[in-house]
Amino acid sequence: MSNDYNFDDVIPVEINTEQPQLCQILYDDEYKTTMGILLALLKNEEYSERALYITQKGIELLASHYTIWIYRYDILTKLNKDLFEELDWCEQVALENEKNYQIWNYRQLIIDRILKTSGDEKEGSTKRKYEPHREFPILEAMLDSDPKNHHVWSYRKWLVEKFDLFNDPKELEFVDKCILADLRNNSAWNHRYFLKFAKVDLITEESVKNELQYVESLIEQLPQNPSSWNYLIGIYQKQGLKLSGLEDFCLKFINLKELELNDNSFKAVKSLYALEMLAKIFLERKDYKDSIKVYDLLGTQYDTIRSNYWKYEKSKVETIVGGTTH
Amino acid sequence: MSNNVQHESKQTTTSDPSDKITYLLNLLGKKLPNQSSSAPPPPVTENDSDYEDIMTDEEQDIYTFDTKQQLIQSLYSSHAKFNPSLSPHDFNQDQDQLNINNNDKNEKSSTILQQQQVELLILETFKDHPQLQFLTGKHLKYLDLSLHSKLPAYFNALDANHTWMMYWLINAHKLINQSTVEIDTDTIDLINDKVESCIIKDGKYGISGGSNQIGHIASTFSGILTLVLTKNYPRLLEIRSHLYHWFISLKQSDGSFLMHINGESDSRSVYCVLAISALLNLHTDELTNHILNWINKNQSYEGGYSNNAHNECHGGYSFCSMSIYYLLFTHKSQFKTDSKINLDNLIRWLVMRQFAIEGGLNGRTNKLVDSCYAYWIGAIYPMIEVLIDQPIFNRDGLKTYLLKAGQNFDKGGFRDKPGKSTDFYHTNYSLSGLSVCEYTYDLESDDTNDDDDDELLAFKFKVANNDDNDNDDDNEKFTNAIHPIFGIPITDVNEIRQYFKNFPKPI
Repeated sequence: MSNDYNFDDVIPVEINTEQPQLCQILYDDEYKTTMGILLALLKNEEYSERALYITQKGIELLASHYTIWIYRYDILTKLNKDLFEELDWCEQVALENEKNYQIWNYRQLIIDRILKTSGDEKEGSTKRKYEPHREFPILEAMLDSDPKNHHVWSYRKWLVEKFDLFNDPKELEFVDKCILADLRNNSAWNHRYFLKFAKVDLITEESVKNELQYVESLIEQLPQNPSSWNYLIGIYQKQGLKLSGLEDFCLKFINLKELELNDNSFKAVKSLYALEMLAKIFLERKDYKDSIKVYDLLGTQYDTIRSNYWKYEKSKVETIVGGTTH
Repeated sequence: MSNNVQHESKQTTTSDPSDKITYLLNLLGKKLPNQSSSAPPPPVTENDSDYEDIMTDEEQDIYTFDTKQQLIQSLYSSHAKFNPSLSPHDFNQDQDQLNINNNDKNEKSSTILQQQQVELLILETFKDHPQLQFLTGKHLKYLDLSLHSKLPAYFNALDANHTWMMYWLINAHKLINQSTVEIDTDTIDLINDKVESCIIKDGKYGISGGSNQIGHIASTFSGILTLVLTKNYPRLLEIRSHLYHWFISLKQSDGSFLMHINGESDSRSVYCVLAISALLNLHTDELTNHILNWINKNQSYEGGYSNNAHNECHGGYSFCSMSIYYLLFTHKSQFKTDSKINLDNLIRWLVMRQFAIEGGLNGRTNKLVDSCYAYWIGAIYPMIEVLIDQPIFNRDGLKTYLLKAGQNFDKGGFRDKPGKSTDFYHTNYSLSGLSVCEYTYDLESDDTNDDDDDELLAFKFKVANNDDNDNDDDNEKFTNAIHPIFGIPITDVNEIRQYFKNFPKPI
């Protein structure tokens, strides 16, 4: 441990030394000493430079130790530390602890505090202004090494909402790049849906048209990709569009003639999602018989793992049929 | 779900397809046929820890190099209840190999490479283990060793999860259907000691993830479940009203709860608070206010639920969200009248989590299979089935995945998937998921018109009597019935409900 700070006066807390005890971890000396001092300072409610230092040591040893983050935030605010420097430090920690999520909540706290304290300043203040685009490089680096990191995407959503980046060209460009790099990156699709459809006043006839063209062209590239199909279905539901508008599109992936032959080689079906959609289109135009037939095909031949589900969908159609004949 | 541990496995697959076989071999710990392979290096031994020596996996099988199609054909048996099947994707891939104008460049995406590798890996594992078997003795031994051994230093990754460790291990033990083996009273005392070391000022500041740490809602949840499992009702009685006031101090104006002071709020924290409050009879309007509005916003366009509005839906958060409805409602009919839930979308998303080849489940669209979702997603299936009165998923497929691919045949316990190491978390949630596969549920008589019936819907789950069970050899169950909402045996839930029901709610 660095000798910059002196902890000689601190009696370290003993961590989990009682005997006997279950699941006793044999901590190494560095961990034992660092956490012992850290938890002792926390107990004494010490908010000091050396306490700040020891939280950094602690986080380096175990970034998922949430208590350290809580303590560090308290120290930071009580000592009135430079919050921009803290953001820089956070980035280093994030890169070294890809799967950690405490850090993203912590970063939100810091940014919220920066906004709150700079709001107190008078106009023309020399205080640095927070610029949300400073987040882009770190987020890009994080998502580059783990493109589906849920914590990082959640944080990105928070940032967009907080600073109204829905129409930010860089944001749109980024999410597009993620999708094109891997059409199956569902996190990227979800983020795109958020950017395009979360704010009702941003939805225009033209934007909907563009999104439909976009997603349809990418489904054609990869017909059996659930992410793009879910995006397409999501738009149809959100906008209350008639599914029959998708019939021609679906028939690009289904050869109806071969389907009749009940051949299970998949020659007739390039996309199960297109087949499923056909069943719904038939139902929508009250062609119950064909809808039931497609559900039967799905349940008995093409997607047998979900046979219970297709039976359920079929039973819903049958209930409607039963209802109309009475 | 835990406060800290990241259960989503890091993607370690290589992006170069030529490394595929090497990768698989490494992952499986297998060797090439007719080729001697050097033994894996001995594990680094830690001072005084015998855990590593005992737990090192010695399983080594031969890798066959068969293609997916060959493997599936070789596995096919008309007696098996689950046979892996191909999808259009597989067919199109073959076709694309012949097609010079293949513009399917995206099939080089990391998602599909990893998916293809895992499918082969699982099929190989299925081939190695033709029988469905459950190694009761080995699992009990694994749990016993995990509780009583000194754990090597790298276990400090779990240092903020002490109450979770207790819950995972004792719950796993109680889920194993082996009535002759009970946890001895000395061990029960030590489990209580461990939780006690995390209770802060009789619960005034919650329960922490380790001694001298700060209270956390998720640690509190696992700590309380542990005390329920050890039947330490007197202690629960002492801390319940303190916990209640602590929860209220973390309540947000939108209805949700912070995980701790200055912490995040999401469907996990809300679920944990409601589940604890239900068990300890602490439900009040003050506590549940606005939650319904808040949770209604979290369903994504895909059908599943997320941690907060607009995020990507996810198995763990969907479990929490659907459970929240069961912890708020008293009658089934409220799903129609009070929730804004799009049930059709939710059901579709849930069933799409099951893989045709692996039989197991993933937690998000286009992610890999992982045994823990056998519970996070698996437990939502019965929550749906009791609403629609129909089976909704393939129980045999999931059971096959858990027993053949999740189970550690050598040392006991369960893992995410073959090639990953066995751990407490996956052992508990695999057993929990296995239990969901082995039982079906009903809701106790639910009279919509009975306004006096204010028992929470969550408490109305009961195991269904399967008289029409078509299964011949299936009467033997490997697990005891789990409660889908609370994640502990249903008998433990019923017992504590009876006990706490008559204690007054806080004012």
